[in-house]
Amino acid sequence: MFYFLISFLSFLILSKSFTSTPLSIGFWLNLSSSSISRIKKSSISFSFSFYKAPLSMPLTKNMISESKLDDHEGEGDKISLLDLPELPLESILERLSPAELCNMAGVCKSLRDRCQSDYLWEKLMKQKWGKVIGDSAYQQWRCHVASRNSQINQQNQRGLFGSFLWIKPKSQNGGQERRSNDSVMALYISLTSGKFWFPAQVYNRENGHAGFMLSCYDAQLCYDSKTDTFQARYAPHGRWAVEENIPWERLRIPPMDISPHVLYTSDCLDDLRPGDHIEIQWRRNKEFPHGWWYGVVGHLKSCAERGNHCCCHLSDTVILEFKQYNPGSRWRQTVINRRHHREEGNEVDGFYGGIRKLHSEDEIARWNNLWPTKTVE
Amino acid sequence: MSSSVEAITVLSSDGDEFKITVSAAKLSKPLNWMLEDVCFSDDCDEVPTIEVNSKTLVKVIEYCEKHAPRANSGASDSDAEELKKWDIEFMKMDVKDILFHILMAANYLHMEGLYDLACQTAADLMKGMTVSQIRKIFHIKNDFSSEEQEQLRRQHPGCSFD
Repeated sequence: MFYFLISFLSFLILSKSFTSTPLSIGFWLNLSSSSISRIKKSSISFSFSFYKAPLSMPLTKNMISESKLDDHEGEGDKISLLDLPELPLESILERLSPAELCNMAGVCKSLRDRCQSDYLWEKLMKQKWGKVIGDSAYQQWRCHVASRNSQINQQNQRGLFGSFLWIKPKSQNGGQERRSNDSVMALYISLTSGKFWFPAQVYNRENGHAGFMLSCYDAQLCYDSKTDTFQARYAPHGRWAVEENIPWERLRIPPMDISPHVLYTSDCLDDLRPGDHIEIQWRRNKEFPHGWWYGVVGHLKSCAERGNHCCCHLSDTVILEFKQYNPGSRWRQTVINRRHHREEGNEVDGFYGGIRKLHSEDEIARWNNLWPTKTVE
Repeated sequence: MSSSVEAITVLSSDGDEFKITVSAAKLSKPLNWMLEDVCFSDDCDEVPTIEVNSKTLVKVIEYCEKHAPRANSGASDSDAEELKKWDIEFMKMDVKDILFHILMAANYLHMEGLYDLACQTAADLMKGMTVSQIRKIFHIKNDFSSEEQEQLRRQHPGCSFD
């Protein structure tokens, strides 16, 4: 009975070890502690003996036996790094930096597989790239990998026809390369080495250019590890604009997963009240991509900000203010209709599109941090 | 268990007897259960076994006794600082000989602090080492074919795999 319990425990530990911290074992032990005390009555010298046998998992043993040094075999009570159960070994490896993990991957086959695992790299990904890599970037990465794989397949097929030998060309090697291509580690390395251009949005594009103050535009970005900054390619009408040396703080994950050429359907028009923080799409003309512009909902002229008596939210007319511009500027204010607004504007002033209301304090704080030191003409 | 007991006796997997104070034993969940469940009074002559070898158990108990006062009562920052220094000294041990035993024991005895400390020590040993140095320290054989090694180099040109 006791041995059954132990093997049951070790099974639980084994199955849990892929996902959780060491302390989660406590949960399972807690569950079974009442059984332990029952058994104990018949034999007092009980032990938590899963330390000795079941934790050194048979699967691991088989995998590692080849890479252990021969002279180590005789040393019965010594534990090698590769003898460690899944969980402790993982706990060690997750304390390594990306470069150290890469290094460890070159030690032996078993460590190569562990050090390349998505589980370890997802954590590193989140740490370094979590704030700039979003769904659209992952999507682009998957397309990138798929197109590279189809290139490899085509090359293989060409080789096949060229040689007239109806034997599958080294599918094992090809398979191995494909597998590592779509790993999280491969994405991390491609990003860090600047080989992968990813979609994101850039605040105050073109280095605080007055024409883009307090806006956020879609771009393709590439990291430069030497300067710890990014290079951006914007897609305006006609030509690509390029900007270098963009710091991390000016990047964000696109909050809406839509193309900059698509008009966003506002879902907050009825809720807009004076003082609300918003972002609104704006484009110069209908061929240009939209950017997102920060603004605040203002009071109607007739209202004069009468505190509790303000009725601006009952009116169909909504005033949007862009206070980075001088009061006299034509960009300072625009008016939209709450009921019918989709896109408004003309070829001179540009077109104001979809509106999203900002709810998150963080988002609002980021805009405020980007505020220009003087108002824009 | 009567509250008058201040220390308990346990057996290592080698059969040696060890004394551990009750407050130190509380650092480990399983030992804590033992305190609650097992009879430690004088007329009870059976001694529980802990499946950790003597060499390792000495160190684990040393760690528990050192950390017990702080764990039970909380401590000032200067104590915490002193304890950190002590931990560093404590972890200066032969890796293949005992570090991994300590790690396994901490895992088995559910000692979070010691577990983290041992993992960090092991990870620190890997830092700044070449692949061949790591193989040497941890007794690992290079089982890559030259083709596989070449493939690794190709995939991750930034890393050295010598």
